[in-house]
Amino acid sequence: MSNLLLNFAWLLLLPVACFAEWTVNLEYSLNGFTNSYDLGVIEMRRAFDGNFTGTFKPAKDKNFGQRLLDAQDGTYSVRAKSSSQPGQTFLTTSDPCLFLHSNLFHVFWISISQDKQELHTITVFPDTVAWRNDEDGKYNSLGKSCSEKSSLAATSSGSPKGIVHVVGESTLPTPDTASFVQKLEREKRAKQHGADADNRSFIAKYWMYIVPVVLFAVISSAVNPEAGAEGQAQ
Amino acid sequence: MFFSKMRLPLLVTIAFFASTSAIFEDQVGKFDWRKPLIGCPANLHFDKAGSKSDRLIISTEQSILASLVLNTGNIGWRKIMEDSSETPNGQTFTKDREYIYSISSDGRSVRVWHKNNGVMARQLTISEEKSSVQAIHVAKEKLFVASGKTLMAYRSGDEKPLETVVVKKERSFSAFFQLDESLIHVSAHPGDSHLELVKINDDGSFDSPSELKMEGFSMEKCHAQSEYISCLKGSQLLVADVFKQKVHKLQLDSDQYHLHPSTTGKLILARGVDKLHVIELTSESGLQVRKTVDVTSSEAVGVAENHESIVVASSDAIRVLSVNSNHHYSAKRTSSEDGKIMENSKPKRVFARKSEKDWEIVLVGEDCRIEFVTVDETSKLVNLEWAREESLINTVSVEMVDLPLSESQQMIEDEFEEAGNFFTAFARRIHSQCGQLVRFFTKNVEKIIHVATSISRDGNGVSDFINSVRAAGQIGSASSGPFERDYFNLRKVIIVVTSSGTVFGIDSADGQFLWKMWLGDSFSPLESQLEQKRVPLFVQRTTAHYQLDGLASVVFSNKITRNGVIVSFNPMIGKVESRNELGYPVKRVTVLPVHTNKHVYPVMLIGKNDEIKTFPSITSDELTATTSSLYLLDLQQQSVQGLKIDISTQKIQPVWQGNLGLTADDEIVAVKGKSFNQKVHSQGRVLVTREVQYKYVNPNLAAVASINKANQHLTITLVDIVTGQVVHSAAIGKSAKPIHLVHSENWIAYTYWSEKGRRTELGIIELYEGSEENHTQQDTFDSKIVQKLPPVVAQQSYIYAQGVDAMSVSETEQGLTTRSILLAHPSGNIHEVSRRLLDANRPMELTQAMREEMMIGYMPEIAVATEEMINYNQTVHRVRGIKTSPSGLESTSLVLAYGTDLFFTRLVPSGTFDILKDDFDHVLISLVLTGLVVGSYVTKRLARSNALASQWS
Repeated sequence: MSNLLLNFAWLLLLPVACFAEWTVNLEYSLNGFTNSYDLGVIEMRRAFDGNFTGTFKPAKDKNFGQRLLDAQDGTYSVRAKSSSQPGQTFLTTSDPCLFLHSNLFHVFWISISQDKQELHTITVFPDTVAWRNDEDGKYNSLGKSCSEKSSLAATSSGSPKGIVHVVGESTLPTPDTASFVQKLEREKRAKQHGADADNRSFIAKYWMYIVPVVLFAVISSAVNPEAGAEGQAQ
Repeated sequence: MFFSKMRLPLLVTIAFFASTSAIFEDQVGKFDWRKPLIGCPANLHFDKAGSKSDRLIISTEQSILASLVLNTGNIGWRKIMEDSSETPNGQTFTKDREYIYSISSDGRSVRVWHKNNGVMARQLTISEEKSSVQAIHVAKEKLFVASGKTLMAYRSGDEKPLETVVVKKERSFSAFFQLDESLIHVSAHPGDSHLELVKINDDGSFDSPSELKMEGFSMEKCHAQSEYISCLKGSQLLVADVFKQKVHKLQLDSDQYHLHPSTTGKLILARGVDKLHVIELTSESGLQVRKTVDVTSSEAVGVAENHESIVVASSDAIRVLSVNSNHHYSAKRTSSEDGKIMENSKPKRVFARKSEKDWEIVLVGEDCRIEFVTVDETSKLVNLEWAREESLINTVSVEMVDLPLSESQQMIEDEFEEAGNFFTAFARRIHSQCGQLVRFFTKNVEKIIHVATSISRDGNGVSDFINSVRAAGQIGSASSGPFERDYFNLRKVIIVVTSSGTVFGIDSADGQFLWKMWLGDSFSPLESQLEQKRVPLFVQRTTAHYQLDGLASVVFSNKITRNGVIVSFNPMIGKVESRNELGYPVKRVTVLPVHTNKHVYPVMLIGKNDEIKTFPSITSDELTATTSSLYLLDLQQQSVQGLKIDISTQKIQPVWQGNLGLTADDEIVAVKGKSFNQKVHSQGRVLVTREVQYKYVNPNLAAVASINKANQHLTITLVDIVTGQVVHSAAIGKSAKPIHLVHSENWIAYTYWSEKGRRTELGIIELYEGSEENHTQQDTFDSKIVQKLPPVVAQQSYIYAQGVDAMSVSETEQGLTTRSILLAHPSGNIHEVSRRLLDANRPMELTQAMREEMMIGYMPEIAVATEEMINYNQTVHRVRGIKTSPSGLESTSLVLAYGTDLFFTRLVPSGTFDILKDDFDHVLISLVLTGLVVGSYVTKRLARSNALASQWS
């Protein structure tokens, strides 16, 4: 019975999950938005736990890699417009070179408000998982021009790819008095029931005090045997 | 091991850690000093407190009522009122023989204080409403108070008023006037052209009001004194005689005059550009100019207490002029500072009185310096009795600078500095070591002489001898020592910048002033989004480069042109190196993280229209590839931008843009980044499981705290300034100001008022990269490359049973010592909370393994114990900021708390683990040791002779 209900609930929720709640349109430019091209769109969907996940749907742009290669020491700017916030634009920039190294794989790091369904910031990163093998871990964005860093093979052609990382607004904690009180009560109860009482034997509990005393007695009697013998003689 | 296996109660553990921070009784005042301040005087009275010495009763702009001992300038007593806003005219107060009556809490209550000890005798509530229009008068055993709309009379000692009158309209002016036996209250309502006079009868009852026509009455241009209200209307002087109910008029020669404030008595002073008219009202001839005195703009004028003389003071002379006769004389002021640079401003207010022997004059400067001078009429000498630097109450920026290297340290540096062949290097070594030997001998000879003199002075007991030998070990570290770095670099020069326009160099050893700088009459502090007044101070070059002097700069704005001004000076002696006025108002100021060839970190000043200048200018070949650009966070309402500044081309361009979730209702309360030279010693934290949790140490991370006025949500957002990446964002409802934030290493601590719990709560957020697998072994942090996994956030919150005025974190040289958070309470305590207690990872359930690691279990409250107060009983009021600075010792952090008082101390967050206790007795131990050696030798000889003797017998 409960299974049936659950299935029913699933059916109800399914269409909700399929439709994007809101979208973020992206366009990019390599010369400060004198020329701009479509990069794709991020679709935001609400999961069952209330959190959002984003999916990047790239635009069919075969020249993307080539454009980055042409402007490898320039600035790669991405402008975003959220469908939930008309009139606001979001900007993020990075080095084109980084994306040539990561085989055009992007990480879109976006921070949102789950309640208001609003975009706070968007940041574009190269995806280090797709890092070219010879460069792993060694690469940094500082210094040098792109071509000096390493030779860029023809793999740079192609269209953008990417994943989306969503940072929501979490809640700051409040002092956890409730569980502390619970813990104290639990300890009190445990003490009353004696469940936690130490039921080891006397020797097992206090051996560390007994051993030195015994040792001392043994040693002192071993060192001074005559004294004992004299006493007996009297 | 045995102990850790035992079940230690939680409280004992906490008490164990807490007790380490307390100090011993004999350490009181050894490392710390306090400067109690009273603020900039607005009103001053000479007074006699009982049969004792003379006092000054002062009410200041910082709403403090204080009594200074006239002979020494020390504070007799001081009452700090709760009024939050600055009161430019000071507290309204009056006095009789025994008591002082003041209006406090923004015109809502009257407090009666004992004059000689400042103890409060009574408090009377007079009104529910706040008002700045106040008047108070004591006469005929009765107290009359006017505040806002109310007018009240009390019989002395009574709690209940005799009579209360509440008018319907708000008042714009209110004052009491007394002539012989008759008493009148005069008030005015805004917009009215007449004064309302209420006659007060002998029994304390009020007559019905009468009106006196007074054209052009406005509070700004009028002044009430003795029995007159005088007003300037263009070039016409109107004086209303309150008792005769008549208005007199006098035509002045121009409309450039203003009435001299804080004048009492019957003389009316009208001051023009270059002259001062002394006007008197006489019944026969009406208003009359009695005397005209030439004054320059740098002179301040005051009327003597007997109302018969005028005192005109400037920075270098004091003139005393008699009104009734032609008698006048001038006395020169000489600065008696011994070679120190002490720039004082021109005087602002003058208070004078004539004693039997000489003139006693109190001068208050533009820089809030209170000077008490006596002028001898016969010898015409100005004698400075004492001076107080009260502008320190407005401290806004503090830095601590190392003292210059000592001669021997310099020689060692020299030895390795120059290149040369084998022989010259050898010769240098021999030379420097000879120098060290000579210095060693001279130092010891000095010490011996010192000991010898002190022994002959102190007496000749054994304890005296030991004491003087001990004291000899400490000379050199005291203030008498040379001006050079001490062995542990514990003594520093504290540079203090105030919003009054003064800069001080203070010796951290004893709080003495080393130098003082006055930034000029056109000084005005910069205004910022968060704090109201700012005068940024930058240390551009420390004294680490001994061939070059240190360099520091302050940035402020010109009062008239509003343009930015940057003054660079030598932080050791206060000598101004350069003063530049920019052609634009300053919007942002920052120090560059890269230095020039002369080791100077330039200051970058960004104007309102994005003009950029650096001081000193930096060339492109001095920039390295990693420091060619600078990133700034630009917070506007609802829009947040990341800006990139190319230092060499001086171009600003936005690199990211977002809103961080800020709406119109959000108010940004704190933005805290990290200083670029902060050191993090340990990259990770070892867990109980023996795994290492690596810290997420991002130097570009800024913490932004904002509060939403509509739903009372406090949001803390951690944002990377270079990329705009929001690393973490979290909010909490039902919270309110005050909010304080500290950002250090990989953690953020914050306090806020929780409306829900009706208490202050203290939270901590820690960021970790995760365990080993995720830790990328990189030398430098790179914001542009994202970590494979987002940082792990650990958060915890604690109840804090006290309010918080200011918050700071300790700073040590290598960042190895466990940090402490310093919290200033409104009660005047500064509480040190170890990071061990304020930890986001305190477990609720302690396992055996955790106990072995000495972890502290979670308790929802951070206890406030009195022994954790770093200022023990030295109360520090209204703390606005706490500056911490590392010393040469890793264990020790230097702390200066500033507010109404200055308080300096040394902080040892983990105990003095790297130094012997300061009461470690080298002398006694070596004496005992030699005694034992000698004794054993002697007894050996004795025993041998004894044995020989016994064998013979």
